[in-house]
Amino acid sequence: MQTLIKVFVIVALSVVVSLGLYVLVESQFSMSMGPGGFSPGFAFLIKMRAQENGGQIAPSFDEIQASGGGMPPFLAGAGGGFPGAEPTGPKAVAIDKGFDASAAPREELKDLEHLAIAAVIAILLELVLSLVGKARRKEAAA
Amino acid sequence: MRMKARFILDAALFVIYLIAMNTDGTGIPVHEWLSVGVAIVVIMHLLTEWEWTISVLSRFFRRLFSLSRLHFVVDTLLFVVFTLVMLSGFLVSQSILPLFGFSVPFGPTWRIIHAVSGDFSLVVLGVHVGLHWRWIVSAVKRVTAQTPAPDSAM
Repeated sequence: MQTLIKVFVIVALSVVVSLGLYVLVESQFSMSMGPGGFSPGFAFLIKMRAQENGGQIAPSFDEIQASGGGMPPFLAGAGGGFPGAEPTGPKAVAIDKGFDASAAPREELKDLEHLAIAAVIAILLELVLSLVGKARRKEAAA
Repeated sequence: MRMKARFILDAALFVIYLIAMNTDGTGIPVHEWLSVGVAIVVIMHLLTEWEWTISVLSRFFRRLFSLSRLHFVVDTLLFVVFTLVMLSGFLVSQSILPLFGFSVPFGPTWRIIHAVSGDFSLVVLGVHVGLHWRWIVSAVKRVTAQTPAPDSAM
């Protein structure tokens, strides 16, 4: 019974956090494709995603806006395509032009590299904090 | 829960999560079902850490060793990021939701959020694992010490 209550608390907490995140994303990161263009949050997301995919293929954001909504294929790699992913209209910009997919680093390997670097930094941080803690305890004891 | 069982649970969670993250290798349906499995194992993981969480939470703003505070902050961040990964994955689901007859009206924003938060979750996971390296080393030592040698098992 106690375990069930704990599970309920964990799930309830997840739901509350999810609702908060949903409201935050919908209000700050929505892709409002109106006359004003993208929201600043969505622009930030696109730039982040573009940087993760090799950097050199990141288009200037003005180019994306000028293209009338045409999206680069690498963004579709996030798990699906955008509506109207093909560049359209006379002002369309081929922002994946010159991008050699085979030359880009394998994303999974890159992610594992990030994980490993983060773990090593955390280990070092833990060592330093442990030493500081020990020194403080010694001082307090003295 | 015994240390060995906890270690096996945590190691399984880590490996399954890494496999689930490799969507190119698994394909979307396996990725989604593995992620559901990961969510269940995460709940089990949180249950095993329940006492510690309550203990740290009750002393967070009072006298508390700075390393424990750092653990708690990283764990909370991991929980939030993981919730975001699951939420965004749920909203862009291509396999599980359609299986139950639901359509998914959510578009590019949630797809990018899912990809970016998934990548970020690996970084936070790395920090989480790194901060617990002493426990991991100690658990590996205990597990390997308890495992009987192949000859003696005969």
